[in-house]
Amino acid sequence: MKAMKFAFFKGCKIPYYLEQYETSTRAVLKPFGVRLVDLEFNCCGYPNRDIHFESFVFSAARNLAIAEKKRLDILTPCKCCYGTLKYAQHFLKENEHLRGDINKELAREGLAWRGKIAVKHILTVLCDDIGLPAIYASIRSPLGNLSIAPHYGCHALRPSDIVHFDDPLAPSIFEDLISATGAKPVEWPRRLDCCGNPLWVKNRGISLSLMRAKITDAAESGADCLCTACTYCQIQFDAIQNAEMSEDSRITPMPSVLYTQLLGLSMGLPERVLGMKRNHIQCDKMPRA
Amino acid sequence: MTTALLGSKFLYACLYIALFACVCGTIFRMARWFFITTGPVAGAPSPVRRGLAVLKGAASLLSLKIFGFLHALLVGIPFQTGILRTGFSRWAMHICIFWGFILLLLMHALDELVTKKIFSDYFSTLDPYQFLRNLFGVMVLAGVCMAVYRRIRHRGPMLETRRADRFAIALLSVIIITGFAMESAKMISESVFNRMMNDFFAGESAGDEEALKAYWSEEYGTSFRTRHYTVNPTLLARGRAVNEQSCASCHSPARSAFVSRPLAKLMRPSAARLEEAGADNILYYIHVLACLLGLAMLPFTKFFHVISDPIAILVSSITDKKNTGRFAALPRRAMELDACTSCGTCSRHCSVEPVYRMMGNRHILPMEKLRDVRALSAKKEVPEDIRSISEGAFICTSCFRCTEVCPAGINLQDQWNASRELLSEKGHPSPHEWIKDFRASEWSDLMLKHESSWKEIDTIKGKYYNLTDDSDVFAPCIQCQTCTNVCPVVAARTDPEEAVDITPQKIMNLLRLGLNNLAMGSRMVWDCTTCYQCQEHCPQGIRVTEIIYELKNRAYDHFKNIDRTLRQADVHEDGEKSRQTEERK
Repeated sequence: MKAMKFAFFKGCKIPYYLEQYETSTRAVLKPFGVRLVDLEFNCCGYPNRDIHFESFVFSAARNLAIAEKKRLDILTPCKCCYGTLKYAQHFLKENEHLRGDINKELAREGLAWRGKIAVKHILTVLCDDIGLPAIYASIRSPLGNLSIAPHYGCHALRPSDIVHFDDPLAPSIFEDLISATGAKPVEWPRRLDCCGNPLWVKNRGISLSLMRAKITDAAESGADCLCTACTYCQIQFDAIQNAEMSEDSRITPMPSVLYTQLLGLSMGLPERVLGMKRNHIQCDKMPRA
Repeated sequence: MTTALLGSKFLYACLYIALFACVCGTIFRMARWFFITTGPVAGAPSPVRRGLAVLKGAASLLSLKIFGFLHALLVGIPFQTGILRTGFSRWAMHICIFWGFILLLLMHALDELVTKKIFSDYFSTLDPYQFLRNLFGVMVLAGVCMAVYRRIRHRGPMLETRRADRFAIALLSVIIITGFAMESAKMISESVFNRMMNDFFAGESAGDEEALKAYWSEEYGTSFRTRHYTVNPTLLARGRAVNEQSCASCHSPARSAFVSRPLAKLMRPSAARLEEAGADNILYYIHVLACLLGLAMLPFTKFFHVISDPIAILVSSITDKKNTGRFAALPRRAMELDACTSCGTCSRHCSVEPVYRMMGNRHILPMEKLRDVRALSAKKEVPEDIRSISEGAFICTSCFRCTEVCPAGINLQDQWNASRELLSEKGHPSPHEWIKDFRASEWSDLMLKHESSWKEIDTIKGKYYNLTDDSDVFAPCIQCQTCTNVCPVVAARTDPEEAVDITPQKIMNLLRLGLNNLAMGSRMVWDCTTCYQCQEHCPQGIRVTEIIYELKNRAYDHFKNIDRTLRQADVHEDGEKSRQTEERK
């Protein structure tokens, strides 16, 4: 297989809030010959989009330009970063006036956005670039008796005409990748719904009720565990669920794992890199790393 | 020791005054660490509790943490690894000043107390001391030059040069330059030569003195007004021999004073005038007084970081960045305010620095944020630009990068968390919070009342996109309610107050009616979770989520300058009145 090289866009939260996502991502990609290059990126721009459009586009454009300068495609494990970079790319492509102004500012530090590089989410890289056959071939200990509910995450999936991630109404990439690990992907009605995290600091009540609806649905659909592939979704379902819902008698805790952890487990990778123990809510049925 | 140390009763008195000021000032500033409250004021612990928490924190040294502490003490601080991480040129600059000055202080300034105790043969004009003094001086000067260069080259919001920086650079330059100049002035001074002759020279035969003068004139550049000899190799050879016998035990060859000797050469043409003016003495006074000024003002100038930074680095070596103790965090944050040298590293690496470049609010940059923290903790009254400060404070992704890169080990993230709590307490929370101060209709009324505050902004609206005012964007809406039906937020509303709020489809309707103002402050807009379900499902292809984003952007622009301290009742009343006058017109 041809060696693949990406600029690794980990986003703001991974280093201090979800280290296991970085270590597990690196660990599962390594056997497939994927090299991740660390560049000094800034915030993707998502958090500021609520109040200021240009600063969101510029933040994203700067990241894109930094990677473009190194002629590297971006790989991000976070769906919010992924979506935001894709949205910005779309606006830059579509709006000449905006592109001109952004490039003028970028030029001050010798950067430019030309739209020459691709932004990829880790699931796409695993499924398309590495390919399912290679993933199947890498499995050492299939996770036979696990029922996993894939949580798709909004910003990777929609709006489909901008992100081009998968079919927005009937996506299958996540189920395919879960099947590869030997676990059973669960069909659940709310799999495409929002996790609630974008409202976490803005309106806690709604944020929690969005999450509660999903957890209840996953449990009713027979899932042992949720599976995410997004920094924010995982923080919501793991750390926040643990902190906020442990006293909520209406629901039993629903563990959530990162897809890279799940895959790593089935590839027989060690706990040291997978960081299963860092997850706040443990899944009893999950085999030990 | 008195006279040996400074040679003058006046300077000696000054030394004691400066020491006294330094010690008192340092105690004062350190004591303040236990009284300054950063972060929320309500429920702030007493100074005693803070002190106890610090002691408890210090007790944690009796664990494996000691290794981290020792590493910081023996590697981090002396080799300044924190600065090295931020860039080599900056490290080189700082290490030159740091080690140059420390070594000068120990070997040269405190020679009576330190060097003589260690090396019994110490003599300031002997090598290696003479050479080293020049070397260390050059190190400091080189560092200062690099600092000046950096400050000119990189000037701007990331490296701002303020009075404190200028003072520090100027004082260091004065100390070092006068030091070199004094050494040179002494070398060329005839009177200094004569004084030494009187005290230490016993000429054995006639002509020794002339030979010595000739030799010193050549070797050290001493300038003699009258010469009773002609320089020739024989005389110089004799001079050298006399020098060997009488002077060399205390005077190394001049070439090791590799700065002062060439400088002496430059000064030689005006030697007579310098001699008359007593230049060596004047320079000596300036040199010592500048040192004493630095010492006296140490606690109140940038130089205080020589005390506060090592403390901050050591504290950070034994504390958890994420879980700061509730009580111990207060004195720590206060101490860190004194440890910041405004080097700008945090701002340069800040994740939201690009946002600053687009929004232009300086308070977004961490370096400025810390200044704000200081201002907020010191003043009882609310600063005028509190809204900008609050805006900046809440534009932060809590990524810890500033904390990570700070060469002084300041836990900046903790500072921001605390300052955001304080700002919320003062009534300046995040936009998503203050937007809740009024209902959509009230915001709309306020907008009418404060037209002037946003009229200007409106002239730039639609700079790139104009989704909310362009009927082509939302006119295709057929009010099928698909957006509302797929909206998870609409479905999740349980609060009756929220439940009656408008829905996405109603937003489209308001836009069609030209009532954008009523949509801007609505819960629907601000509670949007940005999941794009509405946009994805809209059979008419309307960019619903993007419209909501634009409404938020506009609302923010329009509302942020409105004074929110108005009581809600007034808002309503005023709104009614202005509406009536509008109608009458």
